[in-house]
Amino acid sequence: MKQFEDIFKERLEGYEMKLPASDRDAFLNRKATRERYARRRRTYINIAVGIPAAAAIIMGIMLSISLLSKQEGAPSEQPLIADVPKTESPAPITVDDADIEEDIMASTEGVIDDIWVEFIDDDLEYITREQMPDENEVSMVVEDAPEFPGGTNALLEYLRKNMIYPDSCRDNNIQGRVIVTFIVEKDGSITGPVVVKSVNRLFDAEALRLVSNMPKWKPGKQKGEVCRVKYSIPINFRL
Amino acid sequence: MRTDSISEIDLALKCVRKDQKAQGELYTRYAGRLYAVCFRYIGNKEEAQDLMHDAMIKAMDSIRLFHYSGEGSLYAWLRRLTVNVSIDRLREKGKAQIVPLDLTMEPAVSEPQDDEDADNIPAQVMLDMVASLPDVRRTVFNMYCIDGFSHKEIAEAINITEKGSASILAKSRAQLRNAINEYLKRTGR
Repeated sequence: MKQFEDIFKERLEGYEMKLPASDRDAFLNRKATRERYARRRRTYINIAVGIPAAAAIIMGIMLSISLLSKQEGAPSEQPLIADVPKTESPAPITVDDADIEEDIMASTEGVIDDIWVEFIDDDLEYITREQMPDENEVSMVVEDAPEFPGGTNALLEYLRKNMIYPDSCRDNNIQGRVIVTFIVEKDGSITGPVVVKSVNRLFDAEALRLVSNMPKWKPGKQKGEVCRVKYSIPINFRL
Repeated sequence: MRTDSISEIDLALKCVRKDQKAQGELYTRYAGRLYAVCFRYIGNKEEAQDLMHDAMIKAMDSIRLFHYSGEGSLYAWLRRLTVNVSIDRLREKGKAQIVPLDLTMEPAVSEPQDDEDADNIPAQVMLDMVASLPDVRRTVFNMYCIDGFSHKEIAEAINITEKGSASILAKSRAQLRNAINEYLKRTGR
């Protein structure tokens, strides 16, 4: 006596489906694109600190505000302006053929490159800070960056698991990358999430929802003391 | 198989060295079969094609992790990788997570019956039947019946319970059995 699933197994295990003749070229093409893209990506990482106009302007405004408020209090302590972190990934957004892998395979690389804050060069120098209205300052560059519980891979996993792809975007095959900044408070909670690179309202809302619902982070440290740190993560919407 | 061309192990070794020609040969030999695997999981030809490319590229990137253990082991490895890539894709899409709400216990174990008659069905038709199952049922059926995962592994992979997996499997079997009957009736066999 034979059950049909055994028959299915037998017949389907090594079954070969016919591909369109054009597929081979399409594949090789895609592979080549990907390799080019991977190379380019590496060079970008080396020169990581580009200065996209939008970020520069926003930062400029924020810093001048903080400068103003500072001048009244402690004029001596001049904040140094760090290189403005990049907000725009150098990766083209139309990444059809460029690499699902980078995103799916949890390339820590992909995300870590894009998370800005931290250090310039290799020495963990405290370079700039930004004064908040009250006593709680927010560091932009810290010795110990805050960390999602479980690390970057866990963060990716969290995003992947909890993302609710907006239906209308799915139906219309819309994809994109939203970048959200937020502050990791001293107790690890997340406050003030803001979309700094928007795609559309639905993606933005979903990105904000994901960020706001994150579990508590391990807070960042500066000279051994926990501190508030501004952090930014890219959230990829891929079909 | 192709005895005229280079052996599996040589092919794999050349691919480790990123030999373009060998990579092309890897595609030629396995693309069709891996395409079928993707189709079986994703249920849609264009997407399966795209997914197969992903799997192929991933395979070429990570072929140094492959351990040769006899003729056929390269395909076994590629297939496993492709299955994993497919499941990842399903999960990514959130498709596999949508657990059907009708988890009411239907007769979970259908009477074992003689399904010898299914032997007459062409493989492509079988494949189409599997492909046309709803996402979750298709995933569970593929993983359990064809690729030999346990209910526990399935439960972990697609985020359902073991019981859920078993009950979904029963439903997919029932649905496939119906499809088979219909097909046999239609073709008058």
